[in-house]
Amino acid sequence: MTYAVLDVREWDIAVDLETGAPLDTETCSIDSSMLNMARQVVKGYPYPGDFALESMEWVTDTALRLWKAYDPNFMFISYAQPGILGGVLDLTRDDWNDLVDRQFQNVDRFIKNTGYTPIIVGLGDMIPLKGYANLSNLDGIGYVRKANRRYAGLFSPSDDDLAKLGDMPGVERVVSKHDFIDLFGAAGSFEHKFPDYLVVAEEGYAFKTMGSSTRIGYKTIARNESIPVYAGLSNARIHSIVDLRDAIIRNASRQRIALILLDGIGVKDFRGRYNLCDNSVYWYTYCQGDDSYLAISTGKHFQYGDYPPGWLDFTDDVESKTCPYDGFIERPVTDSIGNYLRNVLGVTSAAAGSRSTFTHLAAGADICVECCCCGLYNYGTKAVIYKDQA
Amino acid sequence: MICNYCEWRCELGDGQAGVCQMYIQKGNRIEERHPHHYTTYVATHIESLPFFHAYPGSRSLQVGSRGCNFDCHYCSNAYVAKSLPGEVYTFRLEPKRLVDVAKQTGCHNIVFAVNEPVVFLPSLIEVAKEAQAAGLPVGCMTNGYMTEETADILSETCEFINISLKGFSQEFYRKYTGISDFSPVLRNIRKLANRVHVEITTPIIQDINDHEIIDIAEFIASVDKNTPWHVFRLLPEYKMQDREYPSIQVINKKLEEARRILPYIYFSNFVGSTWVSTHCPACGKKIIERFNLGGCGGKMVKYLLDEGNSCPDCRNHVHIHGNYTQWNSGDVDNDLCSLGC
Ligand code: SF4
Repeated sequence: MTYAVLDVREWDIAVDLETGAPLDTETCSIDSSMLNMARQVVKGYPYPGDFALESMEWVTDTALRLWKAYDPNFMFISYAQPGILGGVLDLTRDDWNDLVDRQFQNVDRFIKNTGYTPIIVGLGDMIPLKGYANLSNLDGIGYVRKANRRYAGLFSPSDDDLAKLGDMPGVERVVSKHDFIDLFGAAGSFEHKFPDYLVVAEEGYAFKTMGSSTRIGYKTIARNESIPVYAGLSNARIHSIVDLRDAIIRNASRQRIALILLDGIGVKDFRGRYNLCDNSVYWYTYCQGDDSYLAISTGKHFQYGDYPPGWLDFTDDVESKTCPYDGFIERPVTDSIGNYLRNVLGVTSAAAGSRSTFTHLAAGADICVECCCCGLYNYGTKAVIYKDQA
Repeated sequence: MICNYCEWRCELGDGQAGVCQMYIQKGNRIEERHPHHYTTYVATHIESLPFFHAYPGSRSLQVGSRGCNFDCHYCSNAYVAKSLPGEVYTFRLEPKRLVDVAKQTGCHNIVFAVNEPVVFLPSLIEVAKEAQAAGLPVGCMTNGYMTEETADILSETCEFINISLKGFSQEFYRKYTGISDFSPVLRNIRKLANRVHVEITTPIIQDINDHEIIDIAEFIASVDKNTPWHVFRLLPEYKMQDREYPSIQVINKKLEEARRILPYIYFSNFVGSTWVSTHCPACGKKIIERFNLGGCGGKMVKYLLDEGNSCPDCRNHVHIHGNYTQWNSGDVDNDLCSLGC
């Protein structure tokens, strides 16, 4: 059984992750040592909040606690703060540099304390926001998911809409579903959910339309075709974001590896040595969010997953949806790296991260600790236990 | 000229804005500064706004503008509610366009639920007219500090209203919301509850307004015992970001006493809350099951009332405004059917 412990400071509850139903931990058959460990970690390390700089220390402290308590062979660690804060705060250059320094100090602290072989991935630069492409007054429906602001879905556009978009400042290209599927070769639910057209913003622009956030934006995600990766593995051949999984799997049985993902960090801010790795497929570049997390974890490009950019995610959020605590995600990610390590190689794993639900979805580790944030509001701390030994 | 939309009754000079910054005097008229300008529109569960006893299960087009006539120290939307014109990005959407978007995306109703609707009332009225003509009910969330005239208008415009009763003392309102007298809020709750479906919301700040829980419950019971009451755990935000998170146990203990006064008390704004489901007041059966992923309210996962909104076990009637509605049942344009609506 996969279950979660949800902690909101001085109060917690365990729930079955698949149904969302509360668990009676006294009577249900789960491994009490995993449950107790999860409870202690989330109780001892409440998430400070997306706006708190200490949330970077929280990731490291939580990861160190998991390492001490569980001693896993593989750790998945994600730091979201530079990406989040750069997006919504008006930071000076010095503030930003301090933030990045603090980020890398936290990475160093984890590595020095634990001795894991690090694979550090900067998921991409943040660049000043130039403006918005406003899709709200088209005849069709423009839709953008908050977390993925450079790609917007467009449904049932008129000819007029398509002509307007051709001249709209901030719009780089408009791609029909047919052309997209033709080039990328997607199928199944990805194809089914794919919008009639995908609208791509020019670098530096984001969208305003149905679903866009009300927050004031300052920086946005750069269109980085390649991103910096430092891999402490001697035999790593990491040419693309989807090669990371294989590099880990090949070494995980004989080496203790920590995969460390840094939102908001690209070549211009990466501290230390790195190699470049491809962050794109055809003309699509990853948005350092759910798409890159899933590509890294599954080792497959986004078009082979279930969640196309610009898709109307809310239509899937029906009453009977499984895994209700996983938000818009329809079902567990069965081909996550953690799942493979556990079920195929018998390698233990743990995860800590401030990327909310995407920490456990992408990591799939035996135990994953993450924040429960939505819209940058802090609603608690969560531990997800995939490995139930009972 | 005096602006009579809310109880501030600001005196506006020519071209001069009042407390909310949203109206100005132009000649001998008071006008919205930016009519039909919005900051957001999203499709969401009506329970997340929250409305637990109105159109359960339905999909709402949640619409927000900017500006507010309060200055709540804990406001979690201050970046938009307290922003000045030009500070946040707004887009103009004509009433018909907003209603078309709602219909095209399978929304069953439109709810103004990000900032105080009274500060953009003329726009809201126009949208409501268009929505009513299209058969879409309209609701809103308000702090209730409107004039009686405005309450009359709102009761003809909105079918369901969630009113925030933030405390139960002049001292609390004076210190934490910026108004000197909260009696208009109580007056408006009574008036509106007589005319439309009303739910009440109260954010609780430990050691500041938690001692008022019973007073609030008794007041709500005096209006209508069946009024749903949503109690939120405060998130330390805005001017109160340095406060501790309130204790769930301490607040819930106080709510236990209030549950003897009101049958429908909900407690949320934290992940995993077990106090977001509806139980039959007569036999105790869980009749509407919800969960909380974080945020206000929750999401419905099971609706067990029968067609007449009676408990399937004891037949007790439960007050629900409007019908149970399936999430994907909205009439949508044929072209959009491929979206799974
Ligand atoms: S609506 Fe605004 S301008 Fe009018 S009285 Fe209230 S605060 Fe003053």
